[in-house]
Amino acid sequence: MIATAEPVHLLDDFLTSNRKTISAIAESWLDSGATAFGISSDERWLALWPDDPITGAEGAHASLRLNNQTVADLWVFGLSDANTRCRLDADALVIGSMAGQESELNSVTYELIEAQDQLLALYDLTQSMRNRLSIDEALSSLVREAGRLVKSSACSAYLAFDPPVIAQYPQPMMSPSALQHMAEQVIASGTRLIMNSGAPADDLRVGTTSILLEPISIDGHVMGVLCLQRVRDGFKSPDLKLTRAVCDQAGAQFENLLRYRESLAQTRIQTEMELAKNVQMHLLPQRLPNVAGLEVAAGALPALQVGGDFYDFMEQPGDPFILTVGDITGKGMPAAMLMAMTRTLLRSKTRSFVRPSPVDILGSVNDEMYDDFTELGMFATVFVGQYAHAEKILYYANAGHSPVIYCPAGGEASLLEADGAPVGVLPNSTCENQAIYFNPGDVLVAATDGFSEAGNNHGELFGYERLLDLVTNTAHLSAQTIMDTLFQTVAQFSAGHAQDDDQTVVVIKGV
Amino acid sequence: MEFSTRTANHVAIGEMQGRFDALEAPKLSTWLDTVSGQSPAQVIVNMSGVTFVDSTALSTLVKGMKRCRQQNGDLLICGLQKQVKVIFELTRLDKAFSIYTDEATALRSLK
Repeated sequence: MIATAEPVHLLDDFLTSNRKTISAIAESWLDSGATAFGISSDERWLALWPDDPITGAEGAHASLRLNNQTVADLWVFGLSDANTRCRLDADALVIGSMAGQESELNSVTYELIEAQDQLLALYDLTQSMRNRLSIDEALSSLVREAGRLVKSSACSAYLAFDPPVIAQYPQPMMSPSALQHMAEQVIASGTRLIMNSGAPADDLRVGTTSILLEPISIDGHVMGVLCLQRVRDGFKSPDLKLTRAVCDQAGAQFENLLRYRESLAQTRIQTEMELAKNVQMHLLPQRLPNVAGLEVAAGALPALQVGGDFYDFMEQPGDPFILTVGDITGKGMPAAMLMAMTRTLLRSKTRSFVRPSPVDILGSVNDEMYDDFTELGMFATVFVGQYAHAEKILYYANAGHSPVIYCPAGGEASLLEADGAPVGVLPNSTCENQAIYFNPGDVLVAATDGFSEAGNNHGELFGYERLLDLVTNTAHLSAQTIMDTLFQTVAQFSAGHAQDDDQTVVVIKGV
Repeated sequence: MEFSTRTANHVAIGEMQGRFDALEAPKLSTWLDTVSGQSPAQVIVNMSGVTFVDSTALSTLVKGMKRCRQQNGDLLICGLQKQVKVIFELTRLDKAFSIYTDEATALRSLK
């Protein structure tokens, strides 16, 4: 390496590359009557003119200085007057300064080449790490590439993640616990640690190993350490610079990788939410039923994190019309799956009885699903209504569901309170069949708690009072308009506040 | 939500303060998993400081109650504030749980 090589070697290189110029100076001395002209160092001739020099006679010499250090002597033989000494001093000065400039040029050139090498090395490192999708893979790639770039006999890396990640190449330089211990010290101090052996270069004993531990920062915190080992040479300034650059690059790569993993996890959650939303939306009736004596409207507005709301209609010729509205506790895929199961069972139980009452349906669904709900630690609130057109009566059973609001024509809205615990809470359903007259102008709004518990930015909930008032005030309108007004009013109330829960509603009105 | 636990007369008592929702339910759930494993599992959840419950909180309590009953015990609830009591009544979970006005009454019922 030229930048730190011995000055005499510098001079050797200089004389070789500038032989013609120095020869011209020598020729000029010989023309002036000198018998010989030469350059010596440590009593050895580096160069001597002419081919048959006469060096024994009188002469003069001048020190050749390079970087303020005497590295050689210029000699002239056969002349010794003051003029000769003066001219020889000047020649020594010129040659020294030429050699100095050349040395500087060489070191600048070297640094440029080194910088270029580092850039290429970092490019290699980036290329090698960028396609790694796991932290383990990226770390393995780092130790392989860094060990090669910084010319180390072994390379290890440690990341203080939970659990810690370790990679060693080509083989372990120390036990994982020893590496962790040293790495944690570097992480705690945040500064590099060098253990240069300082032993002679030809000493190959174990004690000559040098170790460099360089911190790796991720998102502004020291989270990892790169550990390089050399058996003979110590780590010098250019190695440290390159290692620093490698660690900076590696840190940036890990940051990217973590961002990528976060976004991947986010995407998975989003995919699950989309799936849950699809399950929910596709299981809802795709068209409204056509029931004699009733106007029917229904709608659902799923929240971002979808819940387990559902509604369903069952109409069979000759049988009373059945409507169900329910809410499974919990959110996401589990709630959507249980909602699908509950809805399917409600349908099949309705068909398996001859003119089943709402309690028949709810009780058998509870029997069937109690174990599943217990297993999953969930339950479902369900309202089942059964409208017999001939009698103008609405039979219903309510397993813990609210709000279900009834508003007789021209009257005030009130809650149809549940009389049984939700499905899946108790081994046996405690619901009973209830009945109300359902005449033209009467309105039933079976909603889910996404309406009553809709919040606004002041921390208030929409609540039951507002719901009841709204139904009382809109009961004279069509079922569809009552529903639209409900959605609009709740949306205005919670304007700017995220919708926490699904909002699902069925409105029926006697006509 | 603050959550503290203690034991009195072999009854495990958990006491909560503030909002009891999906964010806070796991604390109670973890504790219930432990205490409902003993037989008989006698547990009291003191909710006198609870101002809000959501459906996740309710299902956590139902799950705990079922496990306690499987272990020949029960999970009793006490000290419901008015707005929380309304939720229990609307969902008719008041039919599923034994609910007491205060902790002392709940404890006496287990003797």
